[in-house]
Amino acid sequence: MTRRALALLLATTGLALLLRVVWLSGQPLLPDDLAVGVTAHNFTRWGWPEPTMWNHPRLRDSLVALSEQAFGRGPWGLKIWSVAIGTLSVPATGLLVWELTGSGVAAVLASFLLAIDPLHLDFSRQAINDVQLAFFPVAALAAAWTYRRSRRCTCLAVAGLLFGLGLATKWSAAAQLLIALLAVMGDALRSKEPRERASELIFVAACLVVLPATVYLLTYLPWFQRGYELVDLLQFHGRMALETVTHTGYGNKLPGYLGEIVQPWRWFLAPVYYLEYALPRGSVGPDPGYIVGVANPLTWLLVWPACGLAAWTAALRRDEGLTWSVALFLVTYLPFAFATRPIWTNTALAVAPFALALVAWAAVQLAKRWRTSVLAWGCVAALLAAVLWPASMGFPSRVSDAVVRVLVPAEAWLPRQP
Amino acid sequence: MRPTSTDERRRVRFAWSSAIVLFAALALCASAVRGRTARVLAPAMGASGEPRWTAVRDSAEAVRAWQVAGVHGRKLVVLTGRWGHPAGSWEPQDEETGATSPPTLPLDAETGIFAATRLGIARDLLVFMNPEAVRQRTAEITERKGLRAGTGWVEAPYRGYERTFAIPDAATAPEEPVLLLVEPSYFTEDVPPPEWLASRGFRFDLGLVALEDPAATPLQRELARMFAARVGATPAGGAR
Repeated sequence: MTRRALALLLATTGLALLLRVVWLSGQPLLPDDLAVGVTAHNFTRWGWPEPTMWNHPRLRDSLVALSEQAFGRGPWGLKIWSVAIGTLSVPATGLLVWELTGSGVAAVLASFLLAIDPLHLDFSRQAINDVQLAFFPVAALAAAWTYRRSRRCTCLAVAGLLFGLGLATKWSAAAQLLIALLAVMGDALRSKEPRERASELIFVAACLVVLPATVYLLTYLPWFQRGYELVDLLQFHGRMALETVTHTGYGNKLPGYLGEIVQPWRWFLAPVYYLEYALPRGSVGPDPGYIVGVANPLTWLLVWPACGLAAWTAALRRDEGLTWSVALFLVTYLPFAFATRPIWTNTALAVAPFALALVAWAAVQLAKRWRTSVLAWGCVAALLAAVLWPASMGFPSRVSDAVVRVLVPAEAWLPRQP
Repeated sequence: MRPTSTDERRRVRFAWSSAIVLFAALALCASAVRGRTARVLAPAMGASGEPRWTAVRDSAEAVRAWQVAGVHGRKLVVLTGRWGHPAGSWEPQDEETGATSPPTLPLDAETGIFAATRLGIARDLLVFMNPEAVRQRTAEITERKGLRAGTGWVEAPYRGYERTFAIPDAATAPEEPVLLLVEPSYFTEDVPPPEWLASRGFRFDLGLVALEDPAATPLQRELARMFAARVGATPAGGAR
């Protein structure tokens, strides 16, 4: 990557951080935010993974318990990890795009699109950990691809560590781990010398199987303090898996999930959002109201055309990096798209880096012929994102509210029981 | 610095692989040790090591008695004729910060067993009831995920937490000693007196007899008092 591209990536990261910390103390807390704090406490103290998402892995609890010790039980104690990891997902996406495509411009643009995306911003400012899936697997892939290029052992070990943290966030990180395994094992199997091949395969298995599993196991140490054994952990995971594949929501849902987006096939075909009501006046923050993260329609609705262009180009040019880029998007997205149970928009954060990477790459290709048009699109997309930011921060803004109410249907604003 | 020769690369990879496998082995051991050492038994009564019997007012006071005894991470056997249905959830309170999850319920006879599970006193729950109570309980939870049922028993995990409801005839004793709580509503004509546990191989270090529960009749309360007297249960703070 050129120095200029690196500098721009750094600047984009700075912008991402600024957007994620500004007015964080004033932002009204959501019921989810408080529940995350309580769950962190319950799990680290008693090994009890409730009330938030008992069926998902538990890295968040240990992290939030640590930050609450450092910053107290306020917005910073609850959200610092989302802020930090959401910010870091921006350069991680850039590095991955650069490793895959070799294009510094596409890398910077992908980072920028992610940094300014209102849905990503919304979840980077919530205590819930969905935004972490936009970092751990992405950074792990970037490290794995760096290993493929440089053969530095440390890179693959770092990849394994990050994949472990990703799996300990949500199991969906297994999709990206599978892609990394395929790529790195493929390299190893190409070696003609048997001892070299065996040594490489063992190393890959240690880094991408044993290490992630170990990191994952360690996040369950607080659970073992309830007196459980390893065999109990397996049984518990059977229960978690059953809940995860049949999950239909925790709270009180309106019939038919009225006003909620629970079909992932819509993510890149129509404007999507995630709306939550803040806690009542007087609890925290200056104003009661809502926080709604609307995925930037001017980028998200271009994902499928970009994917088509990338797939076409990859086939024509036999471009390996581009093929992996398309594969990563499809392998991450399709399991959600074809899921038989409701999947909410918060899960789209796991797909966003790969989707926006394709949009960024396509924009760079198209800019070679239609520079002005692409530049105009970029400016309008950035402007729309900026208009949507206040709504994703819970910041009172008439302009943002008016635009949000155009993009979010009327039934979404029906009051739900907390 | 990157290794240059093939042999050197192989040596570096071997070192990394060994270190990772060693790390994994240590993590496995740490997890196993953490779990095993978290199981705390009640101190035995006297030199004979006989199990201790205590009379408590209800399951809420049972939780306090378990906390005083310092027991933790145990299998809990409950002999009862009812199952609490609190309208909400009981969450642990941190004694330092008082932090809770809104809305929470007070610790009482309806929430006592939930409290014992959440606080890690009980890691596994075996509830023995009369056949009608088991049938009723099974009917209530028949739509639950992960339900497994056999003759006279139903395994009904609650959010991953293991719970079994069964009639005494379907009991299988675990290898380890258990905590025992006997509630008055257990005492009906179609179940044997609690002594059946010993004959089926159940061992326990701390037996609690609750003298009240919300579903118990005056006769059942009297039977519970008589049972407490028979086993020589010493009263805890609030038991009268």
